[in-house]
Amino acid sequence: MIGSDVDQFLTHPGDYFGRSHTAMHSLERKHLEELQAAALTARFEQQRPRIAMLGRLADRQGITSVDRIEDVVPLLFEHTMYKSYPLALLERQMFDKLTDWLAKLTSADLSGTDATGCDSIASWLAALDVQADVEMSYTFGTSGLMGFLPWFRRDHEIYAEARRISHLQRFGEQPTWSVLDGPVHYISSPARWRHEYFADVLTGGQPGYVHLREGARSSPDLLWLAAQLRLAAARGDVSHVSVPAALLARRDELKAGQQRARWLDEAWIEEIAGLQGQFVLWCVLPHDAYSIAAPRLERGERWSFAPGSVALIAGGAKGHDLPADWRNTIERFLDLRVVTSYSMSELSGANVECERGRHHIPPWLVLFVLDPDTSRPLPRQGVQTGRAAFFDLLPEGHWGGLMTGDEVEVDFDSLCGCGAQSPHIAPRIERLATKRGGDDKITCAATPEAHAEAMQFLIDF
Amino acid sequence: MPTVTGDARPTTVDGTIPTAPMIVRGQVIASDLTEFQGRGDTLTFRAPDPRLHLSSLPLSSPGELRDLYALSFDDILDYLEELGSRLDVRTNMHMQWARDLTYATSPHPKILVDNDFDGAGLMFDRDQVRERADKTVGLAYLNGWVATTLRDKTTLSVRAFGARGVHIIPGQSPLSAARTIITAAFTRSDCIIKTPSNNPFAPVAIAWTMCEMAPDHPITKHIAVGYWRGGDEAVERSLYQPHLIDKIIAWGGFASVKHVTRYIQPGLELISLDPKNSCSIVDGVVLDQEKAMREAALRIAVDVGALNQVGCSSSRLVYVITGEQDSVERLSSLGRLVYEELMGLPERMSTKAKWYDPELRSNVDALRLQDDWYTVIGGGDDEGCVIVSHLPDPVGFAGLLSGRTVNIVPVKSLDDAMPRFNAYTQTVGVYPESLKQRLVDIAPFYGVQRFVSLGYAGHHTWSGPHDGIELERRMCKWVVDQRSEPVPLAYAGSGNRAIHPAHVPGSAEAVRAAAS
Repeated sequence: MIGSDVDQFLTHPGDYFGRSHTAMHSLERKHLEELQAAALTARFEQQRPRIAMLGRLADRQGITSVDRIEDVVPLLFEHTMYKSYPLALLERQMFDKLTDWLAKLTSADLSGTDATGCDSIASWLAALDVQADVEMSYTFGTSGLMGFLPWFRRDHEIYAEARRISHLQRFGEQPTWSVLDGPVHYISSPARWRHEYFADVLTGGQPGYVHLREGARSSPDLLWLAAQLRLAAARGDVSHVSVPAALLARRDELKAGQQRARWLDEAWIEEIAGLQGQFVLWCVLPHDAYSIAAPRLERGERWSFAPGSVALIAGGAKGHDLPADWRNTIERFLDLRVVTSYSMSELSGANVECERGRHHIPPWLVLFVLDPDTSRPLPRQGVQTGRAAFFDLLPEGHWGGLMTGDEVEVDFDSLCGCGAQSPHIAPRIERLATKRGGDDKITCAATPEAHAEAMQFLIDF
Repeated sequence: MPTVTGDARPTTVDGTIPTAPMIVRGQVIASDLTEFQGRGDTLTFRAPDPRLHLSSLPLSSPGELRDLYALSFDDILDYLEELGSRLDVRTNMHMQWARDLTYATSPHPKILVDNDFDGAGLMFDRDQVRERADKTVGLAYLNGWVATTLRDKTTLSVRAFGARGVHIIPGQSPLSAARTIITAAFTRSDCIIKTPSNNPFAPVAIAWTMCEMAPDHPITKHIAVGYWRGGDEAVERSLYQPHLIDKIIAWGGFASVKHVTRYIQPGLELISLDPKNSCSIVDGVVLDQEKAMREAALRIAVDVGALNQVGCSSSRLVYVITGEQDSVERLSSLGRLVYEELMGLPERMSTKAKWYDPELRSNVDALRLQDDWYTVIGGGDDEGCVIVSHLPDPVGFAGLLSGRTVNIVPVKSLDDAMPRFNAYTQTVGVYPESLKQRLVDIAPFYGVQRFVSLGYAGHHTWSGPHDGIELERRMCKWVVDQRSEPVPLAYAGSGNRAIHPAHVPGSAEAVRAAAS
């Protein structure tokens, strides 16, 4: 039985905190931990019977309840879990089997979903949406593997509301009506799922307020095709691409899409320039923001937006060589608040940077730091460096426990200079795998770096 | 997954920064040092700024190779034999120094590093060098002219001459530098070694020993060892010129080649050795008998475990031809036996990985719960593991397999196995031998370059082609001396117009015809 207090926290986290970003980050540590522990207990009880993989993991370890926060650590999934299907299922379009695989990773009931008629990834995602109310997001990693994460619509909606609060409000400030409820121009790339929930929350459905980068719009099938072509080329065997013939035939669409993207982007940039003076939230990758800002700044141009506007820079350099002062360039070019966020598509948190440059964790994300070699949890006290792991309390569609591939430095205890009480992460975050070695290293066995280079383009999406 | 990449973080051994001197043709240079930052598992070290030595690094003219031709082949063997005995790590302080630094940078634990260094001297055994030279190039070609007479009575004499080469060598073992130096010596070549950041020390130790042993010997005078960052234009633009260098031998595939290709032009040849992967293929009949299964399992374990699966010939995928029947249970039995044998390999041959890729571990752990599609055996302590695919496909992250992690994959037939080989496939270990005979004439079309009996992937003879090319032959310059029989000439000026339009002017036939 979920207590009403915890229930509200899980289903309406925005309301629980009075829709105040300041309140979200002002919980006393003890209170926060009590709340999170209760929420974890509730989530485990709720999800264990519904998510088969969670049940399997719990059974193997003899875990029957989660009482303290630490108890959930052995139940965290590897982030690769959502890519752990046999590639052949995708290559041979066996979407019914893929659905079986997915069924074990979601609390949704997929028993009534008939995917046998699906002839593309897009049609499979549509079938899940229409038949089971599951709105999946998809991701790519440098290995070229496609990951699928199941969400309920409600999960997306809650997340969108939480994002608005986190992105637009500043700690310590009382939010105005326009920050809370007024329409905001939303500038971003299209979402990796079917509906633009965040756009809805920001714009209230008002026309003319959504400015998506159509040049970055692609279908999951075309992205997957592009990945397979690259992998085949890297293997030195382009005659053997593992995709269905019908998809392979769409190769030209890829090229055409890339060309279209270039002039679509130009139009989009013009559109943004035309929003000067307006209240905007611009979600952007560092490289994209930099490549817009640098040449224009050099020409003496600056773009100025209404007070309260924010540029939220999320995502790493993604293989692009950014100069050391990239952020400074963007800040000089854009007259609005520039903020970074440590986020990933698997999480419904935006760990937004405060004025002291630290990323603060919202209360619905329980943060763990694990030993990178053993995955044992380090104490949740003091300053800890290691492998980042989270429990995301918001989503019901999938199990919120996840171990990432990132190394972070977390300060659990000390009060951040910005005044927020929430745990905070140091600005430098590294992929654990990159510790493999430098760029002048030569070995005679084919290493994953070769694949990673081929896959760089994918993570620009 | 978004991150902000951090700055290079140097690591040092005991807090001190080691120095890798430059060795240039008998001289040991350790002045004008510049620091090279390490990251991850490469050390920060100091080395002389190569830009200050650009004039002494290459030979100033190809004619300077002459002193090597004053040496007889036995003289060369004498030198190498002496060098080999001096490289004994028990008595050679340079080798000890390199070995101690290699502990930090090598993907191998100490015991395997020791193994490598203990074996370095063995490559220099005179009989072994002689056999290598003979089987790869041919002693007759190396030491003189080999004549052959063609149908038209022309005599072609061919000799393999040494060339001026820059070698961009791989770093995981001191043996690469040893092999390069030996090959340069018996081909009477000039050899500049550019060391990699993951091992700038072992090549220096060998070359340093050469300087102490015989500083004025021609072979010593034709070796240089130095470090510069691959892509350092100031060095490469000056050095990679056809009037200074004949050949660049680049190991490591794209990583090394990408800096080099812009300099390639007529007169400067690139020999590129790509990183390779290797696999195994087993006839499913072994699954039907306990004894055969055990034997196959042991052989697989050796090909996977030797050198901790780090080498280009290490097996990462094992294809088992199972036919139409469902073989998951029997393959799982094979998998369990492979794991058992892997764990039982002697420590000097194979150990638990020094560092296990966290991304690989994450992928493997995610599969443990996917009982419907995979059986995962072992690996809970990074000791190595066996993944049995239930479907006839490798795991999606096959490119990451390392640390003694092997994937057993059922395939229906030999035909289904062929498309698994590609341009990156180097070695395929086969069992039983009868299966190999069915493969050898077809699999090369798909890319396979080397077939071995299962269990012998790591047994490199260095006396045959490597990566599909005759490397030692390509390092030489093949010169031809063509001699034609004297024929009576018809002087054009004598008024004789008998040259027939059907004969190619200038050919012996035309002149003979005119004369007759």
